[in-house]
Amino acid sequence: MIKTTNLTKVFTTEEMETKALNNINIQIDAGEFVAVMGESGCGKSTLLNTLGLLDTITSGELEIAGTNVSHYKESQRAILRKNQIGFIFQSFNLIDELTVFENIELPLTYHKIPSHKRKELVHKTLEKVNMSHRSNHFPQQLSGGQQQRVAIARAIVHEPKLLLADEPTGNLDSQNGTDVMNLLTELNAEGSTIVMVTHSNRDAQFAHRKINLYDGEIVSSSKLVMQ
Amino acid sequence: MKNSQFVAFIRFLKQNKLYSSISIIGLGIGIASCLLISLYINYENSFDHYHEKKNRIYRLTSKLDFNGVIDAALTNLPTGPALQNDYPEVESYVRFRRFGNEAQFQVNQQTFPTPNVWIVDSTVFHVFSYELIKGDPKTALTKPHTIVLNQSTAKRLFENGDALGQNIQINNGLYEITGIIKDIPNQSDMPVNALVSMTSLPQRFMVAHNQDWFRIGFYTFLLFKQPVDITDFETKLVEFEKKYVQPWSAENQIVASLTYAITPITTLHFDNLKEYDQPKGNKTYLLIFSILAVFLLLISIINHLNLNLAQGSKRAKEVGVRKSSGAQTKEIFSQFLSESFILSAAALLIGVIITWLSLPFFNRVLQVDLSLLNLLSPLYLFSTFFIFILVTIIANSYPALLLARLNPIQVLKGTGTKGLKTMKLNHSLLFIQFLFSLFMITGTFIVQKQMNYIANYSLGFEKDKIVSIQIPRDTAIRNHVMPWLSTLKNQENVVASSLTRMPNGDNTGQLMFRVEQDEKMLEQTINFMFVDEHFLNVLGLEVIQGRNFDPTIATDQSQGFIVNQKAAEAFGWYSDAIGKRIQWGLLPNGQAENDGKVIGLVDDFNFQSLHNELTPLILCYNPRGGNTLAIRYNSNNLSSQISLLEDRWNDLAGGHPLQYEYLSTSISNNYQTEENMTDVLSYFSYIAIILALIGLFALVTYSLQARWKEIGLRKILGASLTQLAWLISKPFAILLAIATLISTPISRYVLQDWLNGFAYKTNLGIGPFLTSFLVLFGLSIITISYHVWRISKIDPVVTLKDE
Ligand SMILES: Nc1ncnc2c1ncn2[C@@H]1O[C@H](COP(=O)(O)OP(=O)(O)O)[C@@H](O)[C@H]1O
Ligand SMILES: [Mg+2]
Repeated sequence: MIKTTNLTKVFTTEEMETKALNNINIQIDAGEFVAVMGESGCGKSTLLNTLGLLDTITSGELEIAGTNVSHYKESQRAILRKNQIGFIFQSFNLIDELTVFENIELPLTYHKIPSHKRKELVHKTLEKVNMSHRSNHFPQQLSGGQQQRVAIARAIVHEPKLLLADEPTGNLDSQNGTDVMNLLTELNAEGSTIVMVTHSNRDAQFAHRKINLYDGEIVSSSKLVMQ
Repeated sequence: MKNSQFVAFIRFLKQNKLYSSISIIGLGIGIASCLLISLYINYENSFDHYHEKKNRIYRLTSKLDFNGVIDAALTNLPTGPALQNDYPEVESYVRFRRFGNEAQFQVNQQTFPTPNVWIVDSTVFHVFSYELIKGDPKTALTKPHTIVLNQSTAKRLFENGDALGQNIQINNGLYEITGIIKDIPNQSDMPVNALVSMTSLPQRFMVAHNQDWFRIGFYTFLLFKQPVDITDFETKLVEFEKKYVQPWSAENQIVASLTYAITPITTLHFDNLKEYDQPKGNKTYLLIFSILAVFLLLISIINHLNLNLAQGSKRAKEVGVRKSSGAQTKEIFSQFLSESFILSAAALLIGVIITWLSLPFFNRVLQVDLSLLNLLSPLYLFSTFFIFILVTIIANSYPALLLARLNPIQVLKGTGTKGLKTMKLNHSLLFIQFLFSLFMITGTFIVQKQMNYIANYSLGFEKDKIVSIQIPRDTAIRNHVMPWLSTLKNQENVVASSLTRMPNGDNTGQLMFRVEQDEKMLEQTINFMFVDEHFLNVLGLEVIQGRNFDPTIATDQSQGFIVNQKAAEAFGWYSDAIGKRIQWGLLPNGQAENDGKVIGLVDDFNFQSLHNELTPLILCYNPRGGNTLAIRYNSNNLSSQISLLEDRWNDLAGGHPLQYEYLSTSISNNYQTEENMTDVLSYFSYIAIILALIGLFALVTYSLQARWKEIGLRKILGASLTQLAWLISKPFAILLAIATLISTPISRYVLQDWLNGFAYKTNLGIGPFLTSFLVLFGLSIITISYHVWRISKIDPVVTLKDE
């Protein structure tokens, strides 16, 4: 699903250059559930963003689903994002002005999908995350856990092959966090490839594999025992 | 625009009602100002454009150099026909002569005073587009004693408006109505209520005028077969003058010359330099208005842009989410552009509504009749649409682009608006707004100050207790009212009365005099008035040397003159004005029809409007008096006096209404243009202030957004609200101070220039400039205080958690 070769990301600001990722070589197979761990500032989010084509890479190669996307233009990357990738963020990032239903529908509006079909997909997804009863609420009316479930629904509604989650449980209490992890596990079981950044060893236990980053480099990559 | 985008947008507007409405209404105000002004400019520019042959019609004028130059809008009687005769390119001509100030129409024993009655050639219907709805344009005004009325006059005179074939009596003459024209458009410098045939003029009048090339008394319009080159034709007019006028003046031993000129009728409205012309438009004011329009629109666009930017940062997260969901930059861009298109459409709608609502007011202030219907002309629709597109694109593509370009990672990190830090708002925009508002406010102050100065300036006589009554020329009525009027001066509340027209700025003439200077008789054009012996009493003027006119001294009538002090100074009569020789009605060889001496010297008084310096004035004695009775009361309550007069008048005058005029009113009419300007200026300066405050509001909003966390921190560290208020106000206060420093000298220069158009002017002083600063400063503080209130509500812990 994902293959990187000497992937490097350097941030250049006025004051300094930060090598956020240094010669990263990883391979993630379709259907895998990978947890990325490491201390704050080690480059986890940067890795996720480059894999999700939100950010460009400085050097090295990036292959997604067998295609080398290292030199894609922004418009090509946008197309790939909308077809193949779903994002889940620590701070949910729901649009306050849209209802739950409309938030989830959002990615579909960038596809040419007729409205009745969109409705169907959104309802199906709502059921999957167990939020059907809240479809007309606005984000502020929901608890954090519910908001994250909606955010997950939005990430998966267009049935992407790759799900990228950046500390999805970071803003949640442990009960809600467990719910979210169960949901992700289910999605993985249904075939989604998931890359998840987390600080929590407990959450990492849900993954098949754990990648540890230190200062922009991979220090270990260990298979975990399936629960 | 996708449905979800639209929905999100509308909900966003709802949640940010204050900002949304300020943004839309602000732009609406700008658009409305622009629409109003362009309607007005369009109105002014289309004066006399209703004539179908407007491109071929020119007005012929003459400059007379006869011991002093008179550049008059008038010509003599014979030139029109002679030109048509001699020059094949002249297809036709039409001459207009005023039928007195007001004609007294009599129908069925009832009198209808009617202004704007003209004596014209029968060709008038061929040259001008006066639309005859009854009557034959070819013959309507050919016969003597025929008259054509406009529709509203016909309705006023005859109950059923059915006037054709009826008769009207005017001053002992009977006129047959041979046509009815549609009321001519208001955009006409020569309003017309009725047209009388030229052939109605007495034969001896025509002969006298036809023989005299220097007797100018007619507005002459030429219709050419094709539009002509003005300088070409004016060269021909020089030859024409050589051929006809010069031989004639040589023959009559007159040393004088006459220069003709032509002006296209389409530009006549702005030709303000000639004497005896109709009141006109003013190009300078139009220019000022155009600049105003552009500035107001620009400023409101800038505000709109600033508010959009300030609001845009609130939507950064949405951009991040959409992008990570696969939206492309161009999709986001078009989303925001469509949004602003909707906003602009709303603003346009509001602009049109504001225009519509304020038109009646604007019309009243400027005394015009603009209509929103004018907006329906293709040119208008086009330009409005053009402005609309321009506004949308300019005001919105920049913020839309900035938003669309946002880096999703940064905005989604939770730092929120961090990515929008690149949206640096330009303080210089606000600076320009401050500058402009200051110009407007000081301008308004100074113009008002000058108007007050003029209103309160002592003219040298008491204008406030004087009323002038028109005495009908009709001898029957005259015989009825005169005995009673002559007793008025004995009433206890009447100080004096005089059969003389009062100096309202308009009632003096100029005449060629010969005046004794250094023991020689020198010819000179001098202002004069015909007055009776009560004139000075009514005005309360003092004779400082010699005496007033005396009806018992027979020689006073043609051989006695009273002059003002200015004349004595100008002629070098230091302490001995009395007895100096004056002649008028000049004849060759030092002879004159009237030859006499100065019998009195009177205090100076302003007999012209205060645009003019005081000049020498000669008062000539006319013991019989004229057709105006001026009454000076000793009380200020003139209206109750008038109603008493009216009661008695109606008993005596048999249907002829009492026509009267307060002297103070007719004097202030001289400043009508300036008064209108003052009003318009003050309204637009309110608008400029409002727009500047909106701009300030937007900028503070924006700058606060960037500093929200900083302010939270400062609060934690113990900053007081006053300190925080000063923190956010300081940059703007400095900006305003600099704007004041820069605007002051510029507006002083411009305003001094305007003031120089008055001979009597207030001084600029420092007050208006200081006040303008304080006004804007005060309003700015009020505007910012809203934000200070918001700051006071900040819970610092929440602001900091956001990161
Ligand atoms: N846009 C950026 N500009 C400059 N430096 C950045 C930027 N984003 C991240 N970095 C730097 O890159 C490094 C890795 O950041 P990040 O991937 O966010 O770490 P993590 O998610 O593991 O906490 C940090 O040192 C961070 O300061
Ligand atoms: Mg991170």
